[in-house]
Amino acid sequence: MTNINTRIFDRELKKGSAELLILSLVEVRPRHGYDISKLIETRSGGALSFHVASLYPLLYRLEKRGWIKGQWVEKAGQRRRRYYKLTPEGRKVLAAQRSAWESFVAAISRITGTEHA
Amino acid sequence: MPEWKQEISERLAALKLEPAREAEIVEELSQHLEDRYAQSLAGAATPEEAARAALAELCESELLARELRRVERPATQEPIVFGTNRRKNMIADFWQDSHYSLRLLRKSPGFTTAALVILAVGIGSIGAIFSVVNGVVLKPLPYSEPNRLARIYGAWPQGSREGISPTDFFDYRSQVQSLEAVAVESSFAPVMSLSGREQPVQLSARIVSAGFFRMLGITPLIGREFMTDEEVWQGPKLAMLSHGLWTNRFSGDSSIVGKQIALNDLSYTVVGVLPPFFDLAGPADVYLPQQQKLEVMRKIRSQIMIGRLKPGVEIPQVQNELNIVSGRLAETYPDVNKNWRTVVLPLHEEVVRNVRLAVFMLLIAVVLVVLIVVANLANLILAKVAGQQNEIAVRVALGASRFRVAQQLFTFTTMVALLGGLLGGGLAHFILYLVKRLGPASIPRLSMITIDFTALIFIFLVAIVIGAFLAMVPMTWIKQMSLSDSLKQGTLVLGSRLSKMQTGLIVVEIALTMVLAVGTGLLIRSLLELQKVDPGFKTRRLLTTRIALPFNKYSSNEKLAAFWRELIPKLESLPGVESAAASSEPPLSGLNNPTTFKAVTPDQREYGAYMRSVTPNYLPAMGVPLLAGRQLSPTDKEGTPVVILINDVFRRDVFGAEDPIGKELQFPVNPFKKAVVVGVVGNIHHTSLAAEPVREVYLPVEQGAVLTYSLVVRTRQYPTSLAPLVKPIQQVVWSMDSNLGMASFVTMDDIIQRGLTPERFRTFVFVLFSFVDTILSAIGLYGVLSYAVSQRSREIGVRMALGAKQQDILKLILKRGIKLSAIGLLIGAAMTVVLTRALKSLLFGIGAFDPLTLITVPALMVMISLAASCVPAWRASRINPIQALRSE
Repeated sequence: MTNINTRIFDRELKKGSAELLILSLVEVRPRHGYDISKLIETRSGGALSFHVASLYPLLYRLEKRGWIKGQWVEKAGQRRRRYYKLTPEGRKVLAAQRSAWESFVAAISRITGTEHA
Repeated sequence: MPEWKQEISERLAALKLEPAREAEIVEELSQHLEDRYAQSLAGAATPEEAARAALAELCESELLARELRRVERPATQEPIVFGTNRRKNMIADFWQDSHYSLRLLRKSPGFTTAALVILAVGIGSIGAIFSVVNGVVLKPLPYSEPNRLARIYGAWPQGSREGISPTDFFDYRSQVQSLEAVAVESSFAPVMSLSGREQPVQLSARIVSAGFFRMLGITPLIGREFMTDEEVWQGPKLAMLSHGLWTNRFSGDSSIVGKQIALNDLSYTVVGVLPPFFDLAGPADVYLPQQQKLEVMRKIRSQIMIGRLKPGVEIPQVQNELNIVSGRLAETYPDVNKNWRTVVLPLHEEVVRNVRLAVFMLLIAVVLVVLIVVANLANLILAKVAGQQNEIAVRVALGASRFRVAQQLFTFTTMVALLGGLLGGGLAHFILYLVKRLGPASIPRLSMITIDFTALIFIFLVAIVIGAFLAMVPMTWIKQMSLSDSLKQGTLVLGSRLSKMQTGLIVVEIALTMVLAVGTGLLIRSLLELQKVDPGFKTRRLLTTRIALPFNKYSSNEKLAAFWRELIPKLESLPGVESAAASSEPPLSGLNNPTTFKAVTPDQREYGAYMRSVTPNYLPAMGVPLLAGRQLSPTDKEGTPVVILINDVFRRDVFGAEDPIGKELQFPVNPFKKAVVVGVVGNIHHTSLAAEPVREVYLPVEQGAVLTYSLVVRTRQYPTSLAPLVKPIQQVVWSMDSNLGMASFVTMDDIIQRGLTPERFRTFVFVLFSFVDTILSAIGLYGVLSYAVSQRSREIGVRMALGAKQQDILKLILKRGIKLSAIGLLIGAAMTVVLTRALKSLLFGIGAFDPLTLITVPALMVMISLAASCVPAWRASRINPIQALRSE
């Protein structure tokens, strides 16, 4: 992905999907920032990665909207970490975004993907 | 491992986040980088590679900030103390609060100006008056160990205060043991002529006993003071020079001691030169030893006796001992000293006795002004704080402790007070300058007063106290502040009790101002009336000086009369001189024989009268009209029947409707015994313009001369500068007696102006206070109304929305202003009725119920109140109803 146009496309794509990614990752249980970034990286097989500079502003924005909630948690022998969990409102948003995404992906792939006869 | 936190902080700096929030973000992000770093290391990267990988997370330097800016709000500009848990640091807090206070002051120039003006005026007048009180009353006398000094009066049983005779003094000095030293100085300072160098000058000479200066702790600059063996009748002629005379006339000649000087044509040996010092009896130029003929002096009780107590001795002890000595003297000299005793009093008290009351009255006036200042400022600050009640409530709700908020308020008010104090210190200099210029000479040590270190400390303390007091007002409110009420927007939280207090304060202020203003008005009116008084003679183009002929040369009536007989025509022949004459006591000069002479009518009625010895042309020269009979004439001389002129008051009192001309009066105490009235002349205001003319008798010099006269010269032109006129007059005098000194020449107009000094000073003080007071009241009224307008903006908005016109609103607020001032003025009028009666003795030419004053002053006050109400009323009328309602 060295082509400039491709890079911009990539960024816009990530941005559009980033909220969905984060909300999905904290759906099951609260996670801290590093955890979230590692999961995105590993689960996407390295195709997607978020840097500190973009991840945390996003987390803060989601928190501000009231979709997730961060909380400092201290565990024995560890330094305190900030864990983010999904709020009930966030849960609704997640459901909506998820279905929208699925129909979007389906629509896109119907145009761009291999055509099943 | 790199400093993650620092890396992150640097990138966040531009955002200016709330410190607490920033710390949180830094912590979270640095942890992320640390995890990333640890992970890279675990994946077998070198530390450098791991660090690079972690830092790559932050991307380009601006990205993080840019992204965060879209989410995070920067901290509010003012470092308001939110409910953070940061450690308290008094000094840091103080700095922060000071900056906050200064910003607050800059942001509200109206408030700042008003507060600073009020404070500067208040503190300035306190500072100046404190300096006067300190200099005159509190500061110890400038002598060594002044608390051991005592003034010793002579006294008759009825409690009079007299001086001590030289003869008695010798007895006290030799017999009293409880005093370490005792000495006397003459209360009068006879006038002498110093001649022999340049032109002769007139000096005031004071007579002191041996050891007088040592007793006060004053050491001669050079030479010595007088010794007891020099205190003998017709002893050696010795003199000590004052510092002023030594520097001005002898150019500080350090070899002066032992040299001869000519005083009244006699040769005196200078034995010493004094340093500048404070002479209780008044400044003198030269000091002479007391060398009286003691046998004849026991009755002449005119000396000021001062003693220095032995260490540990108390006043009553001295009193006891003096009583014993006085008793002994009374036994030995029953004809003179029967019932005679002495009274010992601390010297300091005696010096300030006469002014203490006046000074403390001034102090009370100042305290009143200060109270008004504080009340006024409290009003202003209350209004200011009320404007910020929401902000304060939010802060407290967010966890700022009330203590912290109070601390901030305290810093604010103290800073305001200190700034005001600074200005006040400057103003104090100016006020003191005015006081010194206009103050009557009767205030001791006035000229020595400055705003010294003590006064500055005092001003500083007053500022702090005012600041603390001002902080207390809003603090009590903060203590009781109900958060929920305050947070409800637009709710009037400052209780109605407080606004009632404000209103009451204003009403009282206006009432007091009214009283003071009426008093001032009356004083100004009477000063004007006083200046209109016809003194009874023509004052213009009149020059006077005083000439004292020395007794050793002019030892007979004929010699004295001859001097004047010859001098007057010579002066009158000078070009530019219209007429010249002499009188023993010219009017308004402060000269007056303290006792009247007894005049007895043919039918044995006795009257007191003041007697003036004058040259025959004195009354025409002064422009005093002749009402009946004839003027004095050069032909009235020794050997012819003694003649007198009487003034109209004398004629009215003594002769009534009878014709006085040719009547013979007896004067039992005068050497001539009887005199014939040859004329009646107009009345003159002799002692002051305010004092009614008294009975006066004019006697020709030829038939009753004294040693000292005032020469009066009427010039043809109005003297623009005195020098060209004075010089020829002096030449003429010196052509007759080259060693005669003359007092400096003054015009009669100047004398009259000087005579008005006490009235003018009194009026000035009143004008000053009433000016300050009026300004303060106007500001106060303005403040209260402005506050009310700000509180009622919603109501005004509703009224306007419902159709009220701008002028209705204008009227609404003006009405309130007028109502407040009307109540104040009514109360003031009631107080005036009582208080102006106290002023009555100070008034001249008008009654305490002077209609002009009583109409003008309240009218002026109403106008000022209206002016003060106009601005807030105008502001209220300009309220935009939509905005006023929306902001709620």
